[in-house]
Amino acid sequence: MSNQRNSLRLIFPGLSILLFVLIFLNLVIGSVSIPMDVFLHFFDSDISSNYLVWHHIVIESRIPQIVTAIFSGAALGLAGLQMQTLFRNPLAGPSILGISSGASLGVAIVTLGSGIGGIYLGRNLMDGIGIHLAAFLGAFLVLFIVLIAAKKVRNNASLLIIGIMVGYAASSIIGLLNFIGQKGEVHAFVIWGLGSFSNVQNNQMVLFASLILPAFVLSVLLMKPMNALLLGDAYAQNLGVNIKKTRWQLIILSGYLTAIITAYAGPIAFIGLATPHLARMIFKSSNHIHLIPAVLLLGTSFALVCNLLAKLPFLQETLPINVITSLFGAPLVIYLIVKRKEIGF
Amino acid sequence: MTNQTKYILETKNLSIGYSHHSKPIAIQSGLNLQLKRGELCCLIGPNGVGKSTLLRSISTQIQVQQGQIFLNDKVIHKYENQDLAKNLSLVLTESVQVPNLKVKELVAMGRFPYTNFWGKINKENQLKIDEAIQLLGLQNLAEQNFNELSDGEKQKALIAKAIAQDTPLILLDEPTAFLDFPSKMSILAELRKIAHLNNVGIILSTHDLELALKMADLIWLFPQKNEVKSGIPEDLVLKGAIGKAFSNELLSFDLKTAHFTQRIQTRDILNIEGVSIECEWLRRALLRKGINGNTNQPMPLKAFYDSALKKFIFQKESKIFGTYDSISELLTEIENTN
Repeated sequence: MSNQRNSLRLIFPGLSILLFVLIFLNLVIGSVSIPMDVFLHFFDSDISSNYLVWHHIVIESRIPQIVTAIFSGAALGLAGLQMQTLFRNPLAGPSILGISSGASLGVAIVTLGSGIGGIYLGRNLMDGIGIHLAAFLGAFLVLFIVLIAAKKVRNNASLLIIGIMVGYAASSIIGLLNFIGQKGEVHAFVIWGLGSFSNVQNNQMVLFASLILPAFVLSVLLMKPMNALLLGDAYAQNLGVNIKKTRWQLIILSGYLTAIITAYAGPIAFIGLATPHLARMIFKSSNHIHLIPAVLLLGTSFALVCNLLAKLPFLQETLPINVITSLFGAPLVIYLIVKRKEIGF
Repeated sequence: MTNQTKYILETKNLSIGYSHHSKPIAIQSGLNLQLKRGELCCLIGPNGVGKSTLLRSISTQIQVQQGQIFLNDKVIHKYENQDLAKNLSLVLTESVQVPNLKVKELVAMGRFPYTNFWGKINKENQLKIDEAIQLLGLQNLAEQNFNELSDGEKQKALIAKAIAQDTPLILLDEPTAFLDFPSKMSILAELRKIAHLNNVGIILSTHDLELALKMADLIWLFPQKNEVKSGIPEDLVLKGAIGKAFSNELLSFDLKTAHFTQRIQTRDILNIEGVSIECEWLRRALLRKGINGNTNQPMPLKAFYDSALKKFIFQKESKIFGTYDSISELLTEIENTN
């Protein structure tokens, strides 16, 4: 008991310090090298024009990138944890119910849609709200379908299969759109699919944050029933949990978080699947009172590390985020599993 | 206690079963069963007669088809989730697999209906948890991970969780399945102790008929064909209900020993003289070979155990044919003679 408490007492502050270090590194490191001087005198009023460019890069590019990475990592980690606990399946993640496929389908329709005639909407809105909106609509369409299915089928395994099937269906339509799309459009869509933390501008940040934060608060409220779910539905029900309601709430919250993040940053791979496992391994606990703050912290750190790796100075240009998440994340998780020899949900 | 209820659990004209293509299929109907506080009730019967279905119906996991279940004189489906959780606890057959869950944390989950929004364990909760851990003798395992326990220990931990839930009724679905014999015995002994000590009603389903007859205060017998019987083990045995329910062309129930024996064709070729333990075991060994050791008529062959010599003696026509150190040697000789 005291042992575990002590280690928790060390891990949380440790992770918080790591988080600040990562934020700092993400500020100072990037494809444009900015002298340390700029940061030391960041709030000075009389600055040279050279400083102004650097200033601009930090404020308009690096800070929104960091904030987006923080929200995305935390939200995906949380959504992944919710899915893994609900389905008691270590392979569940935010994309398991096909929600990110739905978002992709939405984006595919607006970016590749000109090929099927008449949809020029995407062309004009390519860079901005159009993409977000399309992704939203696609994601929520799938979430809606999954929720209807959740009402019809009682069995969680069946629901999981329905989610995966909806994802396949969306993917096959995306495949068709890719097939008939123009070269440039296909490229644009592929780029979107690789994910990016640079899509949210400062003027959208308030909306982005206010969409995400309430879902964090609501997720924390589900901590206790999530703990009961660890024992399985029958035990949880016997402990007084309203299984139907809790399942509904978890699907909505996880689906909502995934939908928002996918809309703003693209289908970010791996973070949502891996973060809950990292949390369980590091904290050696299955109690959500530890796991929820843990996935928030670890998801954030994970996203920031990936963002940093994607823009290391020796790289010619910033790499897509999904290239890094899996390439960096997969060996890490394999290492931890081999070392600890146990994995769960 | 203010609780003056006669029965903790009562069913009235209860029909249980499943619905298939929204058509109800009853497995048992017209059940009128009663259980008092402080009683350990064993639910016995072959597979598929509705033992689990009854437990699932009582725990409201499935709907009843007809009739009513009363928990503490209140119809069970009128309980709120949280309230039912304080009155009825469960131990299921399905295995629980949670990584990184310590035994004490699992037991603490039993306090779930009593803890606040954050699930905080206060002093009173902690007391109940410690009590439950102590009652099941799990003190040394409390810090261990549940996943690392043996099957018997896991079962005990889950029972401790149910005890911590502090309910007047505990249901257990085959708690002794997959356990070795000493563990079965110890689990049932613990449960009986808990029923008597904590004055709670306990219902468990089991296939261990002989154990159930030995340990239960009450038996609910679910035979293959309808008509469920309820009573104390001894009455059910004497009325022949047990024998009737489980005997078939292969097995017969021995009223005296409460054992089932294989029905086999035996040959009458010799008599065993004596009532010593050695003779009893010799009879058993012969029976397995299809030889009846108690023919009730004079036989040319005779066997007995000489406790002074510590040897088995084999006689033919009142003459000693041979002496043997083990039953095995004697058996070989008897088989050779025939």
